[in-house]
Amino acid sequence: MSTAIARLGALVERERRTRFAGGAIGHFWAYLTPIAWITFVVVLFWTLNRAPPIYVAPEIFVATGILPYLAFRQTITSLTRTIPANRSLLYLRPVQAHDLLMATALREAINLTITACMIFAAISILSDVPAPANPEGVILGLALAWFLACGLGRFIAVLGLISDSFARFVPILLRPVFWLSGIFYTATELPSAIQDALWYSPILHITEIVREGYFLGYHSPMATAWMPLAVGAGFYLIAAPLEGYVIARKKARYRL
Amino acid sequence: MITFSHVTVMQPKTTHAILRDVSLHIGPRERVGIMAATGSGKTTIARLLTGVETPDRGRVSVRDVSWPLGYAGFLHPNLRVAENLRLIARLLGQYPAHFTSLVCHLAEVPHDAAVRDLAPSQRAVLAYMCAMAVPGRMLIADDTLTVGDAQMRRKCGALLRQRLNTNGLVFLSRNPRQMRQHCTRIFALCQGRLIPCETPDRAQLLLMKEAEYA
Repeated sequence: MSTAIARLGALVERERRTRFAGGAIGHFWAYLTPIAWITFVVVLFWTLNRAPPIYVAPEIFVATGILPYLAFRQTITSLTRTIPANRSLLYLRPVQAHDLLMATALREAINLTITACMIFAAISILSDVPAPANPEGVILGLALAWFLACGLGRFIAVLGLISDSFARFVPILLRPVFWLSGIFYTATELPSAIQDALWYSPILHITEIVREGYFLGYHSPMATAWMPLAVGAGFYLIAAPLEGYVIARKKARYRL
Repeated sequence: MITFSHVTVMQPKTTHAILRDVSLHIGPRERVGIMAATGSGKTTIARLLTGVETPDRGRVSVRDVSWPLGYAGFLHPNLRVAENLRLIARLLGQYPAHFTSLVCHLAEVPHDAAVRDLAPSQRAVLAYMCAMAVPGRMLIADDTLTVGDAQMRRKCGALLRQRLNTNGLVFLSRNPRQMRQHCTRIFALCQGRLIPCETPDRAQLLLMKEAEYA
């Protein structure tokens, strides 16, 4: 057990050192990406003269929408890439494919925690925004975004081993999530027919959970924790035997 | 220790079998040579022996086996030598400080050099010495028993001989001279079967006959 933890720690450390290695800014790229996204969307809000549907500063409204989305998206992207990128480590025999996936997921969780703390603290200081009304709700929402991405990401990573076309199609497949995740709107302001349709978007539930946690008095009609939890767990449970089958039956499109 | 039970491995996307229903047990201190022609699947067998590859049929059981000697794919080019070695040591359950200083000393590579700045032969030496620095593991050699320039090859040879006093070796090659020097149990890989032979020359003769008939 202790050697497995040490192995996982080494893989997380290697991931941290290598992902952005070589550039002048190095690992700060991991934190610059969400900052750039938030700045871009806030500028978009100002340009389009759009006020947030909740009476809060646009920066914090955008941040509560974009952080869960980025956590979800970045974790899926990293999980999809980790096996092809690190398959030479499988020669160091204790290391297995699921160790690589686990280490990447943990690395993303650490990145998400640091990014969220930095961004929420910076917005609170610079825009004089109060701290979250219910921090547990915010933490739950972000943890759910990560968990959903781990389940879906592992499933996509395994399917990507079989089909090159599928691996290339994943970014296109995930593109609508940006619009379905509630970055620009809240569930409350949507017409009931669209609310019913978007109930099946687990990432919208997550965004609403984060906003319920952050903004005092905000209540959402669709902030259900079990929905993203069930979707994430479902994909994870399907991915585990599928991964075993792909490796045992040598169905991967390249040598693992 | 390596055990093959009725192992069949097909060449990808063909009907050609690299191994056909092979059963074999190799003890932890045995020195086995497998004489095989070029393109007959030596690398696939080496991957099976290291546990990276799984057979199409049958079962392979592998315990305390190293990666193929000289394989350097796990060294990350953007990390420094010492960073790479410390992480590898942690992955292998070795003491990082001891492992790093031992490997740098054996490979004669500065610990603060970036791996991307090393010549391919230096990377191979570094990876080779990593395998030598992990005790108790059976060695696998896919055509390569020593690496580097002439002086380094002599050093590798001496380390290998020392290591083979306590650990086993599986050497896949078409070189009877090196096999004679290091291996005591010889097989020829003919039509997917591992045929026991008394000497490497006999194994080579079998391969030549197979090539004539083909």
